[in-house]
Amino acid sequence: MPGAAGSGLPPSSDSGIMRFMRATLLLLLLISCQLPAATVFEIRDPVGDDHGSGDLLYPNRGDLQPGDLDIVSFAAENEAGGTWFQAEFRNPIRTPQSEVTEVGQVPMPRLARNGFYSFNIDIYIDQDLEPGSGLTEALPGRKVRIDAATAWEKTVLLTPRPDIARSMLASHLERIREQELRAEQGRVTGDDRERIAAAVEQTLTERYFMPNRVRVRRRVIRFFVPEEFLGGPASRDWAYTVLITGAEVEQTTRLATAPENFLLMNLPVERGLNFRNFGLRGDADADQPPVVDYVMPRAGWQRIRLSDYNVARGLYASVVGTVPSGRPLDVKPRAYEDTAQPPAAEERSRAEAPPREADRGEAEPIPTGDSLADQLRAIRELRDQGLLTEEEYQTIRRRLLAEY
Amino acid sequence: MKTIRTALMVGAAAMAVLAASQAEAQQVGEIRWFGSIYAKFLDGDRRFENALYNNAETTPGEAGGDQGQGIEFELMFNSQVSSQVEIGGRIKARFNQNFWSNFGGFGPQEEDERSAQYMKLRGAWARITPGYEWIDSATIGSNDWGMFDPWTVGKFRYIDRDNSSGLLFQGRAFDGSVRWDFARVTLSRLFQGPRFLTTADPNDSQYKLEANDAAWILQTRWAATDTLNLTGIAEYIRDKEIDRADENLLDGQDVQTRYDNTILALKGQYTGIDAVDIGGAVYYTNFNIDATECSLGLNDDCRFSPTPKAGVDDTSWKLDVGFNDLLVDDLTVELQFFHIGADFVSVTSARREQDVLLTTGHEGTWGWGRPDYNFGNRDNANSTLGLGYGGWNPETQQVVSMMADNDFTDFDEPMAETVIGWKGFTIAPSYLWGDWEFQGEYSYIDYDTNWQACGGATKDTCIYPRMEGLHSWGLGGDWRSPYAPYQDKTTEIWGLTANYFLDVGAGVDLEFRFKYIADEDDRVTNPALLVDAYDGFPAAVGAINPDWIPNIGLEGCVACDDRAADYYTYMVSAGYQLTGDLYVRVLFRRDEVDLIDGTIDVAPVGLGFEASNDFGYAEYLTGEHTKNRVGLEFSYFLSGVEFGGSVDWLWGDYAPVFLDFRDGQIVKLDTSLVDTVTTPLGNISVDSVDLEQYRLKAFMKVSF
Repeated sequence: MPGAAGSGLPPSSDSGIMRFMRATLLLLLLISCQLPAATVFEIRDPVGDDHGSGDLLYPNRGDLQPGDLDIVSFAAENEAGGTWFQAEFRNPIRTPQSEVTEVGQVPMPRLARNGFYSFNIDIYIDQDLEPGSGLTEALPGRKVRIDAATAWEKTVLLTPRPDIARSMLASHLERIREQELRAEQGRVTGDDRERIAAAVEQTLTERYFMPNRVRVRRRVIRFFVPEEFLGGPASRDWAYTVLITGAEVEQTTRLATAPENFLLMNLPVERGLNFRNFGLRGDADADQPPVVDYVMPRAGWQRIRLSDYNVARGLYASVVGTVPSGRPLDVKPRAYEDTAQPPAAEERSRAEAPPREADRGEAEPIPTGDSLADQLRAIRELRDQGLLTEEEYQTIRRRLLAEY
Repeated sequence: MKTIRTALMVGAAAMAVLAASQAEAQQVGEIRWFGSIYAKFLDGDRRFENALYNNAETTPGEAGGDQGQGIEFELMFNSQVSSQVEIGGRIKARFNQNFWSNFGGFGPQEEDERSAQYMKLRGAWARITPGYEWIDSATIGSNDWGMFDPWTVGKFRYIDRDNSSGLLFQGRAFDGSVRWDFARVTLSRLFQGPRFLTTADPNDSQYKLEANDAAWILQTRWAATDTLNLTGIAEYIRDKEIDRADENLLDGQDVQTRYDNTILALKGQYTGIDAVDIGGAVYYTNFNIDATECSLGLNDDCRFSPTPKAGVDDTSWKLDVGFNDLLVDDLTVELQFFHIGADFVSVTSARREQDVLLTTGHEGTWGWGRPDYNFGNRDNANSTLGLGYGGWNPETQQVVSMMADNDFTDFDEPMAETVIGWKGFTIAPSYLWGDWEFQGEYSYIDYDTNWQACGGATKDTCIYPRMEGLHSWGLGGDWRSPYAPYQDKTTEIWGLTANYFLDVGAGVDLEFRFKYIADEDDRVTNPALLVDAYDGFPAAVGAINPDWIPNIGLEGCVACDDRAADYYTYMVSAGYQLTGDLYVRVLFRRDEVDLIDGTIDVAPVGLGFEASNDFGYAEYLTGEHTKNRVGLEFSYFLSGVEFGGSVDWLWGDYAPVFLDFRDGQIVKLDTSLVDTVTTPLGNISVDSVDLEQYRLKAFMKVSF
């Protein structure tokens, strides 16, 4: 047979399985051992609570599905020079490979260079646990505030485009300060702007850090925060308020919006389902925070905390941090904040108590979003833990049954 | 100290403003306007100004440009009409061929919609959220369908994300554990049917029927537990036509089916084990087509078509297993096994932008380059279609569509390739070691499309669309049709990427990349079929190349047409945040290919005059290829505007090699005494060919 001779082409007789086995063996041979790093702490978060206050629906996108933003643990490892924070999600983290932007079809890896593009992680760190010490305001667009008991000194924002996020935050803060100054003195000079820019830059340097050393491996993302920023290695005795929002990678230039509507790289919540925003279940309130998940070990508390806001009174939902060591916090239930009789510091379980609007004669917040049975169980749990009086419990129970 | 205090005060004061003014959701009745301005700048030394895209639009003269500037304005709006009704839309002026040099129009180009600078309604929708328990929303109008599986209804961007329209209903059941999406998606008459049409004759106004052709799809997703999700999908697509046998209009006009397509799918994902994630999907497709629509054969009027010419059905599946911290910390391994049937047909599957396989696939740099290696003939429109020598820079996307679409793209965007017929596995380990991150890939791909004479008696009864007919020929290129009349092919892909963060200054992002692809195709393996394969069909009617040679039977040599292509890629890059707003990346990349595309007697099966040098459709490329690229990428952000860009300088050469079959052996020809070698593709020069290309793309984007 002429064709059998001298083709010059190698034969390909190996079966696919044999090739697979060879590849696997080669891989295992290439693996080298590495000493595990010491974990400073790990905070677990309930699985399946990636729905904010209970009413959020994922956007109409195939690349953003339930579980994608469901953080299940948050941990830290210290090493020379800084701390590696680590977040684990329920689903494998989606990579920007093969994605393009909506405007201009720019390849997403060009913008989101750190291997992820679908979420932000806010970490508000209270380093002194001194009530009233630090800031309580969250990053723009989150529509929450940090409880005064864990008011923060440092904020870390892990976002797909850290450079853009920092630049936008700077512009945003400068704009607000200019507005303030204009209101105070009627005009803003060039010198004023220079001073504001310098002060904002210093604030950003001291207060905010956007990591760009990031490692993604399936469900886990790790990011490095240097000691120069934190002032030392991460501690189990600090409080960490960790929030997950959906990332809006292209939202780079909408600075002209009103300051209170400015979103720092996060997807908003709007009624209806769209690929540009998180939707709402049923007729849920459209002013709820766009926080999809909130690291809070105790099931049910995320829903309660994120539901506790009042647009009419200008009150954001209040979220409290977690201290990995279990050190007690002095959390004031929200309803007492402007009263003369705040409760004393209490044990940790009390520290995570929900706001108690009922004590001010207003309706007790009701867990929403789950089935009636779930809601009844939740308020019973609150009663059993002494966080609701029997009277409050019965009142809420009646309301739930009546509304069912 | 004073400065620090000032800074803290600024921060606190700024935040206090935010706290004082609680943002509220959009108010009923309010119309919100938003949009973008996007400008693009192209430059290059191909000097084609067909359009403001580098792409590979398959119509000569309509695309493949590398010159000029243009600007697009897009205006979107939405309004909450009531608490239950929202409307929105988008109008846009595109720059397809609307260059700044058009000077605003008033020239002949104003008559051409591709050049006219007018605003056009690109999408409009109404969304109803009735507040019922069983339904979350109903959306009527334009949509991008991104909520569906890309194997069924994919995001098929044509020129915009939401060119497609339909009805979408979404809701929940069983206390939210089941989510469902039900849609009627209107088919595009531009491409979603045999011959890229949804009617037999679009010019026959009395009998054409396109407007009500649609895909119906139901997708249900069941969160059985927090860690187990199951999805079931059923889709039915039907293209209706006038039933010409019904000549009585008095009782209404009967219709008949031109084609229909059923897709059933079951998907699952389990993440309940810390160390392992498991996911999988199985698909069944059924496709029927009216028998009169296409005649069988390679060159009938269904040659360019995104469907087979006869009814087929098939199954496909993939299984994903991901290991976290396998054996040692920080080692993850992803495994994917896949089998996509040769007869898989899903007319509405994703055409690009959705990657269905784990493998990185072929390299886009060799995709549809068509720089006319052999003759460099500018007058030959076929050989100058496409992006030129450089091809696409990013890695490819794999789609399960014969409509894989790379139109309206630029060289910095990923190329899409069809993977119908692919079967095999990918193993992709990833390992962190200090500041190093390693990612590897090994893929082995066999093909369900490996057959002789299309699985029949002769190639002339092939039911598969040939389209360009360059599948598995030359350096790559034909991304649309996965079929070759004769094929016996395997592909192996090896890849290793290492990333290192060099902690100097703001930190340098270093990347090192190596990839090797071995493509081997024995093509005709049965000597009895050599005549059928190389009988010179289609006949050389119309051929204007006097040297065109049909090589009937190749003298019985089945090895003479064997293909062996070894692709090597080496790349190193460094990225650095030069200032807070400016990020720059420089890279060097080298690609090499050692290619044997058979002996000098071989041309692509089924290509006749189209393979000749005067037509320029296929090229003689056996030999050694090198390509070097120095690239610069940048992105710059300044309050309110974003700039980005890529500029490439490419150079390399092609050293042709000529193999011939003599005395029972395949031998390398001694070309020292000749200037050209006669082949079925023309008289090919024996000299090395030097190639160069410069190209630039920059953009400005402002959203508001």
